[in-house]
Amino acid sequence: MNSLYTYLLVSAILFCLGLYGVTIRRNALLILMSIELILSSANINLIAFSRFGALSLDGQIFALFAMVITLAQAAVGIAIILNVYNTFRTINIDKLDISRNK
Amino acid sequence: MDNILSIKYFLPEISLIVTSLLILPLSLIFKTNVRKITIPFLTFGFILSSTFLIMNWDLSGHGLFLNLIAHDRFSQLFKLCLLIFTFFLFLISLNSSELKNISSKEYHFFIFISLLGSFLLVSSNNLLMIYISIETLSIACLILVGYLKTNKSSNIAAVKNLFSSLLSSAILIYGLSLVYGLTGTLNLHEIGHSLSNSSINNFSITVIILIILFGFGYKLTIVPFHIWSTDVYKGATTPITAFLTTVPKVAGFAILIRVLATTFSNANFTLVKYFHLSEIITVLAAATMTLGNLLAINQKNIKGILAYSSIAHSGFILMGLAIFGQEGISASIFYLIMYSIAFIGVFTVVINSNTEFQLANLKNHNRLNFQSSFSTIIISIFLISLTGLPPTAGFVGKFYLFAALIKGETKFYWLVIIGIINCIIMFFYHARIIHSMLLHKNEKHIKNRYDKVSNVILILLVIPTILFGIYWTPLFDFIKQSLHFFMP
Amino acid sequence: MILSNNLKHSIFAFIATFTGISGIYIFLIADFLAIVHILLNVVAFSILIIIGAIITNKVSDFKIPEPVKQKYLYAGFSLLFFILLLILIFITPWKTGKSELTNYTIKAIGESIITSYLMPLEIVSIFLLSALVGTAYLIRKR
Repeated sequence: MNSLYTYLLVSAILFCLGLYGVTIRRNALLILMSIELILSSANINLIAFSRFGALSLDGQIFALFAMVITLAQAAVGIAIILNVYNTFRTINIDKLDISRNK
Repeated sequence: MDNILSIKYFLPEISLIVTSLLILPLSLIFKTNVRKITIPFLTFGFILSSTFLIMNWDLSGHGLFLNLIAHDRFSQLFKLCLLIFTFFLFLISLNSSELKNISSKEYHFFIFISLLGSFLLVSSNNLLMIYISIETLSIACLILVGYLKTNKSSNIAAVKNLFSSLLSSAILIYGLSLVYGLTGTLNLHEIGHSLSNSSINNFSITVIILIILFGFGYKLTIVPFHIWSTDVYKGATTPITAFLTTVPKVAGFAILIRVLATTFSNANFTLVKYFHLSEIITVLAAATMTLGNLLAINQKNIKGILAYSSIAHSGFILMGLAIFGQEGISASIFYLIMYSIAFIGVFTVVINSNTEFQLANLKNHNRLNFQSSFSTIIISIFLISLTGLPPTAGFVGKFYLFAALIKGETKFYWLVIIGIINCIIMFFYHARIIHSMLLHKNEKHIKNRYDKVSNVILILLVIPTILFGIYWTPLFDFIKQSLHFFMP
Repeated sequence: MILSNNLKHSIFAFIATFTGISGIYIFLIADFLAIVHILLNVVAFSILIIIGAIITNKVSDFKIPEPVKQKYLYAGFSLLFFILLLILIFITPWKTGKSELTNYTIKAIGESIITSYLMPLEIVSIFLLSALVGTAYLIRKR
């Protein structure tokens, strides 16, 4: 049970769910959350390989940096989304259109 | 080399960081006449960085910061190019009418941050450094694209850029984690070493390479990602589009070349055969240039044409990477540099002309009257170079690419034929821009807005375009010698 | 989290999912990362999302539009990709070795961050500063 393959399987499931969410969802916040899901699947991969494969902490440190960077990017992303909301009064990314009024 | 010793070779980056950190307080202290203080200061920052770069020019490679960063001929060549390109883009953006009325200090700050990110990207030698520097580059691009906060098209471009760059970096880190799992190390050379020693089956390595290529794909605008990047290019303000089509692309191709050369090829720069790498890249290259060109024909305004044209050019650059080998890579780098020079030149003309010209429909000739004959001649030279006609450097770049395709071990005649057909299509829509500028030229005369700086930049950009079209051997040999990657 | 049509439910599911992921980290002997993950992703990120949701929706109404029409197509696409990844996972000879990780990783992580990974740490600090400046610029009113 506690083997490398279990964790890789979990991360693959998370990755595909995140991909599915990005493709079907049109709400900007939900897309952001789905992308976060993909990133944490990559982090699970890294940590699992660091635990079972390599003999070092490199993977864990990579995952640590990846978490920090992702959160900073998400903050900028929320700022951009709020800006879009101020301009268009919607965050449905299909409804963004130059000709649309407030 | 350990952390303390390597600071000496890291001075160009440090001077960039210090300059960018000092911009914000400086522009807060001098509230009146901000531009008079900051612009000489920023110019000084660029010059300082380039001085350090040239002072530390080193023919042998070093691994800085415990081999996290490579200081070799390849990275120095690309750093110099990126520095010069960004300096020109910085100077021409000062004259832009779109950025006149808003605060410029953050704009300059993010130009410097993205330059720092691309410096680190071209020299990174470790998967962690690749990831961090790509993110540094892309976060600066995120904010630059959405820089006009109330402009609608800028906002749409920002949100599209946000999701595509976040998604591509998520896919990239997934691919990198798989590589880490295969080899158990983050260092590029150790990865290459352990890949060549292990018995990894064809299928899994192909899938992993595809995932990583998809991660880089958004920066390089290869085919499945062209939909997003053109919307971003069209929606962003013109100086930022000029930035996005050149600097991140150059840096992205540099890191792709480094990854392919250090991990997936042997010492003579031939890609390892059984990975099917070169087949994948040829298909991507052919699809990228054909789609980019076909979509460019339908575009109405000059910005749309340039956006799709830049995609088609990435297809051409990928062509050289497909065969790899010394010939192929140096042809690609030559083409990449000439493409960036010509693109910056075209965008200089576009930024300096009226905003109406940037959005004008090319079929509607009456609105394009206000171009002077000077700008028509200059833009024609750059467009001829982009198309690849004889007296210019673009011809030499395309010639070397096709020559490398035919000369290599595996012949790619079909790719050459597709490339030549694409040149013809490219000629068609580039000629349309020149044609519409020449028509009705003298009906109405409007004073053009060129200042001295832009004229000097245009002339500085025309000189290499013509010169390397006639006498290209020194530059080409220099690029060939620069293909020297740091090996521990 | 992805299938719900109510943003409130999605956010709660998101918090639950990410707490579960930090549990996975604990199983993998990554205690420090589990704490960081709870702090960053579960607390900070969900606060960001909640603020975004409150501003962009009326407080009583968190309905979000139905997914796009071709959702079965995309589901099939994701499933195909999943099968591809599954084959990849079980076919690939991953590098394995006997792990020498101890129960507490905090000390080892701290040591390697200030020795061999000092440079990335500095670059990340510049990156965070630029994210801060960018967010402040974008949110500021003119």
